[in-house]
Amino acid sequence: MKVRFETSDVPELEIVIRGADTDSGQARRLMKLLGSGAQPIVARAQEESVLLAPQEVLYAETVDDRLCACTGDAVLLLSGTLEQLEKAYAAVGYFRCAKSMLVNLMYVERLRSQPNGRILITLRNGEQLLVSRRYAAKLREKIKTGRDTE
Amino acid sequence: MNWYKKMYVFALNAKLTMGVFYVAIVFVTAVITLCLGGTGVSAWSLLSMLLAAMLIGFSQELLLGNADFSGSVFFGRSILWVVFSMAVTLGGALIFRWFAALPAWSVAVLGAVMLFGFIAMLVSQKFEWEADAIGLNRDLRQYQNDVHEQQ
Repeated sequence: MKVRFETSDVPELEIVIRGADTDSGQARRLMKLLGSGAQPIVARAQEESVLLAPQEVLYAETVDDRLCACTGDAVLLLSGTLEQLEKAYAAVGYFRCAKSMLVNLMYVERLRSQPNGRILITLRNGEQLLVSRRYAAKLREKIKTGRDTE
Repeated sequence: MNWYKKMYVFALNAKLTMGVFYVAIVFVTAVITLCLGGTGVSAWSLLSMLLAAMLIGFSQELLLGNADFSGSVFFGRSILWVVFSMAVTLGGALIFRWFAALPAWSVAVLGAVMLFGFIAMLVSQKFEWEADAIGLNRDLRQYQNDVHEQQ
């Protein structure tokens, strides 16, 4: 992939993705990343770094002190901590649903009430996450007011 | 969370339902007793009713407190809980002779009323969760739209 910058008289910044296959995964990922305007997430996949748009991540989880992001078709290693990820992307829908897990609320298909004040999250890919009473109260607050509670 | 804190929360949740069941058993027994010409409910009966309500309340928390409402688990556990609660109610009435001076079928009347109460409680809980889920999903869609517009 070539990256080229051109100076022109066009008042608004214009980004053109040109190629034989503009429907490829790489092109779609670039469009998502550029369209979001959000800082990309740097992930590692088989010895190479991959830039992820925050919208691509379904959920992130700490497993054995390693931060992983699930994008639906891949699980990628991330640098940093869950707290840093939560702070950086809370505004685009990231929510701490458990001690070691963040979920992207933009990928949530539906929520269901459970006994003892818990909430069952069903993601668009069919995966389900159970939110404990403690985090369920914060989830209710977040989707109602858009604000995170401590 | 430490185990004693978990136990404390468990007991806290269980005692609420235990209290409701105790009031229900005492009330229904008192009404049946009065309707059939009885004079009152003995202190021994009241204590044994408290024990029965405790068993019903704790078993509800144990079986249904952490059940997954979405699956068949909740349905299966609900049936198990209703059967257990009925056994405790009828067993308590027979063993501790809650209707000592009254006809034997008064136990059946208590059982029928309590069975209706147990099922009604489960159904109302289901309705409550469904109504809550509707509100949750409405807020979620609104939140997703707001974030989407900001992007």
